[in-house]
Amino acid sequence: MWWGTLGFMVIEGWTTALLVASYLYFRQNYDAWPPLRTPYPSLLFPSINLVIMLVSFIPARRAAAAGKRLDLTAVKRWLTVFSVVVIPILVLRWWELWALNTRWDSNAYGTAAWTIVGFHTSLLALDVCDTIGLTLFYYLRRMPPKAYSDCSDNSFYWYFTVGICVPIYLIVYVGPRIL
Amino acid sequence: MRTRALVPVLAVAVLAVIAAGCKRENRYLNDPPPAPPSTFVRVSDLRPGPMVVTDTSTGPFDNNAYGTAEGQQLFEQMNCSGCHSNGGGGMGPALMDDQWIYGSEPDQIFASIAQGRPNGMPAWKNRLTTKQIWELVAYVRSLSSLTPKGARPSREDHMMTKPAPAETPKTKPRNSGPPA
Amino acid sequence: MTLSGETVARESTVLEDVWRDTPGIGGWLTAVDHKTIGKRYLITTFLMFLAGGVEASLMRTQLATPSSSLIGPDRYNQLFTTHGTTMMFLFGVPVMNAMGLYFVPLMVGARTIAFPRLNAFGYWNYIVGVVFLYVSLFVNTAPDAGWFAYVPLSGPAYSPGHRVDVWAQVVTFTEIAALVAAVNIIVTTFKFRSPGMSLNRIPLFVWAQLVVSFMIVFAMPAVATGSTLMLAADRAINTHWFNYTEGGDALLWQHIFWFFGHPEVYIIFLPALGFVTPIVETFCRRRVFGYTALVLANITTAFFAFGLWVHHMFATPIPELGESMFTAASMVIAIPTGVQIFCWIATIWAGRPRLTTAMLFVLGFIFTFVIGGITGVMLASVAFDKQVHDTFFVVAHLHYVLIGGGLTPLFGAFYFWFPKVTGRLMNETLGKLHFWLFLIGVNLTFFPMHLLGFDGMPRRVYTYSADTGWEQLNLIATIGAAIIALSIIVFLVNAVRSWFGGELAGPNPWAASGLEWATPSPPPAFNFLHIPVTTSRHPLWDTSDDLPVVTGLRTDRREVLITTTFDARPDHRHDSPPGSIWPLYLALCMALLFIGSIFSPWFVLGGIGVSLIGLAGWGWSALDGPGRERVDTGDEIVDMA
Repeated sequence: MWWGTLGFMVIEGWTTALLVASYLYFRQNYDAWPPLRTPYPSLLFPSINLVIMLVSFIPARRAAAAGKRLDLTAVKRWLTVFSVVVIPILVLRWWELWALNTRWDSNAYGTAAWTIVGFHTSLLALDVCDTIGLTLFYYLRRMPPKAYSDCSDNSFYWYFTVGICVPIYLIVYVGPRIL
Repeated sequence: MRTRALVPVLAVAVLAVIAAGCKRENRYLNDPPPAPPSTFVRVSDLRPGPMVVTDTSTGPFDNNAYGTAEGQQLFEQMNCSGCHSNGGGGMGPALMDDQWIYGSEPDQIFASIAQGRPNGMPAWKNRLTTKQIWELVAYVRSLSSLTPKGARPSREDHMMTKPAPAETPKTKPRNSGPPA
Repeated sequence: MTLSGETVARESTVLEDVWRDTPGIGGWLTAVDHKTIGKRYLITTFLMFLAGGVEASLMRTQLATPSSSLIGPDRYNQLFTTHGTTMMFLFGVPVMNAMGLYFVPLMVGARTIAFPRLNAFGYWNYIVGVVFLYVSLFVNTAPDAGWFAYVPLSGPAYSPGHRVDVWAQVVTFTEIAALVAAVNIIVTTFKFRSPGMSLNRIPLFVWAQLVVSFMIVFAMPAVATGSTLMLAADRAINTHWFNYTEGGDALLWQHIFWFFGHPEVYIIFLPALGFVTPIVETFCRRRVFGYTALVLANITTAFFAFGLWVHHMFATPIPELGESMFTAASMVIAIPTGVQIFCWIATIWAGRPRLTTAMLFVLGFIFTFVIGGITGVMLASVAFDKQVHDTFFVVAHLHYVLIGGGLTPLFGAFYFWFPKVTGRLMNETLGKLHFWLFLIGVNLTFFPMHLLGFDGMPRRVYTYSADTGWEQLNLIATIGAAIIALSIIVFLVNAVRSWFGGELAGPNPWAASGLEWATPSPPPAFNFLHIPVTTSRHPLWDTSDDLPVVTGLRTDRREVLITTTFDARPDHRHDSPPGSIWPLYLALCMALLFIGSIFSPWFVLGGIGVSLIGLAGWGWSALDGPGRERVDTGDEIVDMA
């Protein structure tokens, strides 16, 4: 399963890289960046979300370690904490999208920015649902020992989802102030 | 078996899809053009009897994506935007709203374009072919969503001045009257 | 120690019961056996090949005479777009994936593929793509902007209606299927090999599939991004990716598409190179010359393939320095391919060739592909390309390399491995007739197109007038197309007759050397009675009598042996999942999501919702298989049942 997760990460990561490359490609079509009369993306919600994402590494790591130890109580505890921490990330993502201060149909800059963050949102939503689902499985039934490796696979994918959000934050939200 | 009962349902669904798809996607490159409307076209809803506002008929290209898109290009090429902006109106009345001074039926819009109208609408009868005027009719109707959604054009390759006609919500044409 | 016939029979029955797909319609929908899925792919892709061929025949009939009114311009546009889309997306890549999905586990000595349910999911997605494209052809909604759908023609302003949206989603479905197959092949090749099969002992077929799978992982996301996230979004929700007035760029489409598009043709071509080596080895009765060189050439070609894409864009205003770099790269890639061809020529020279049908096809490949490769190097020069861009010269080149380099080895592979898949040999006489008709037909059809290109005949025109002087060459090309069609009919007759009544083949009718020939034909559901141990690159040639095997895997449940990545030392046991309906369900959810997105963005949300149910069901159903009680802690395997 680790290999399967890795494969998925490579594919989605490469797609994000292509989208970011396209975003940077558009820079040459404009004199001003962001385009004239488009405000800079606001940094408030994205920064809050980034902090929460980094904090969420703690329950993710603990849950993975508990899974390796086959410690059911600890797994349940840390998966629950993990689930509780990631839900606000997804909720705040709505405001993060509007923090771009443009619309996807205003111009090419808006299109590219929305698509990058929107695509990442789909990965985020998938991972959040995955985590919540896994947590519910542990509560709803007895999990066989072989399945405890799912905890570390899930955390592994979460590290990727958050990890890829850092360059997105830097390029899409902070970048326009520099480029 | 339940599968047997599904067959007529599936057949109807398939035929519906075929019928809808075929007409909407048709590119009538070699077909003869549609005929112009009859000479008498009502341009006002003033008449004896109760006030009736109708929009029941369909223009020849209303259901046709290609014709409506051609109309979108003609709108730009004939500089209709010069007076009508991109549908929002300016010197000329707005075309995106639900107010139709001379009526919103395809025949009536055809007559308005072909004959010209007071206060500055030119007569295009001798400058555009019948087919081209019908294409413009389809496009103008799509601006206020009077044509089916599937046939309405998407955004043009122009600056984004308004949502694409495919996105505009449907309106019901209201009583005509003098411009506001 | 040789097992008694009785033990073998008893173990076989137990294993067969455990590993086979359940019978009946339920089993048909939930099948996860990689050979079942592989066969389905092979049959469906072959049907797609026939459909693409019909489209080509219609086009050639239309072009045979000047000012022909057989097919109108709109229908013709739909025909060449569907022909290209079918052949590239619905035939070219999936058939190569199919050969990999069927043969890689057998060739590496595994019981099954790494992710069986994911494999089924990929196949169902592919079927959705097939059905969607061909239904659209009957409702006048087939895409008509070319198989590469250049903007702004394919954008919302100039391609009204839903035709191009159909194209974009067909690409999405086939991309999902290809990515799934690629991940499966990579993991199977790395972790499921038979003990002793270190990386330098992997058959070249498997090397080719492995390299191509990596290429798919990096190339397919580009086309998916371009078609779904960019083009479909421009058409549906008014984004401005390609709207130059709002800062978008029509050239961006070309970059993104050809970043995928160039590796795509190598994705079709490299597996075919993988077919050639086993055929040459077997029928020249010697080991291939330069195994390491062939492997390195495969890898080098794959890397270079990602650096060539701009040669499809020489007629755009790209800076000259950039164009020169891509000219250089496009010429350099001929070197590794040339190395491979020379290795095979050396093998044939030093061996004792036996001209069976499969071997004939390999010789045909060398001849036809080299012609295509030469015209490719010609096209790599910017100055030359600017003269013949968008003419029939390019059509000639691409068909020579794809047919010569892809289809010809594929036919050879069919004749070679048909006995393994079906248990029966194909008829050699009909096979040779097929080969000669095919070779003559292909050259007669596509060689005149080089001259037509020089003469200025553009691509994608539905007719031409008589005063251009093109009609004779066009007529010759159409006659050639008819000969190709005849050769395919001969092949079909041969295949059908052999499937039902051909001469019975044993496990190894050709005396070949790969592990797949160590099991009966057709292979049983469990592939190998015991997992073989590999001690050389040519297991069946280097072991005198019996193949060494490992014993000890459980036979009462679907257990497979996982080995280490580099040296293939046994690592741990793993339980393979049984059949499941969730792959089909999830594929239908994907269908709802992507096809619905053409009509309304709300379908995306709805599709995600039902997909989540599918993912939950998939995960839940995986928890209850046998062997779930076991825990693997390092070297020790502790049973907790």
